[in-house]
Amino acid sequence: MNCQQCQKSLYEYSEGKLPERMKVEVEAHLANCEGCKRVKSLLMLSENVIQEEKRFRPEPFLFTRVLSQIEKAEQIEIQFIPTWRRIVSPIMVSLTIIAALYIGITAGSKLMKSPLENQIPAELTYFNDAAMESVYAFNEN
Amino acid sequence: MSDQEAIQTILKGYKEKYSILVDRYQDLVFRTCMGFFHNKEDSEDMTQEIFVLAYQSLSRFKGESSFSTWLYRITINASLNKLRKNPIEKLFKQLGAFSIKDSEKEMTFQIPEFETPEDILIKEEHRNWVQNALNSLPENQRTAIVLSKYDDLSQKEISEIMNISEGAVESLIQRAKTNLRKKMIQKLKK
Repeated sequence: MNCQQCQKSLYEYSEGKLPERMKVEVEAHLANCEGCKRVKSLLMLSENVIQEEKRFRPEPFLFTRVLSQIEKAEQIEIQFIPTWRRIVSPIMVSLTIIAALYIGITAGSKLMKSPLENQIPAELTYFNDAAMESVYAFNEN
Repeated sequence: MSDQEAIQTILKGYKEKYSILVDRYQDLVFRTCMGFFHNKEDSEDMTQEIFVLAYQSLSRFKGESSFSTWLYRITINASLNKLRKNPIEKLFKQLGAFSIKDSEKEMTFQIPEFETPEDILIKEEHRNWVQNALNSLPENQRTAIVLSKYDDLSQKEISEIMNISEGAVESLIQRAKTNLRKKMIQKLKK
């Protein structure tokens, strides 16, 4: 067995999947080949890394966290406003305010009496009381 | 309660019954995520995301395959998407060889007391090398090797999940092993 054949069989060897005859040949080669022995130990270390990672377990109460995230997503979904509504809504609100102002002004002007009606008649508007006072009353001469 | 019965109950509005499926399959999802992310925190977050995603897609589960197969598919797609989206983050993680928390380090390697700090560093370096070697594999090879090594699934089960023939799975695993072996030889030559 040469190095290439040995290295090709190393994965199966480490997984215990090699037939007995091949296993003996690989072991015989490994006993005499330092390079292949190093590849094998690197491969075994890699297997160890995977085995160690497999030992991890998720933290408890995963479902509680999942449920809270589901509920949060559902709330966002409820609160979600489609784009067309985000554009149309402010326009509708503005139009409603303008309409309300217009109706208010129109109705107000028709129903309320004009405050000008209570004002001084036009002929008295510029009547000057001071001008009517006899000036001579203040004249000492 | 079977998976199918649980799904029917959940779809009727009893969302608390989803705990049956979460409890039953959390290890499966988490282990697969570990195969892709090699990090407890990331795998934990991803597991949570996958179960939320699965819940939201539950009405689309037709029962043509088993629930576990369907969940595996969601896990693989979500994990690969996440890795594709975060190449910069991934790069930083690969560079951050010594950024693993102490608690994680303790859990990852039960280091005997007589090991020197140098030994620990070598192991840590090796751990990162293995993770990078696995991550550098093409997506389909990586998926096949994760399902085979981390989930101990048979080629038949993997073929069902990946929707390819058993022969194709065998070929993917062989190519993945060859690529990993080549990387090992390259590393030893350095």
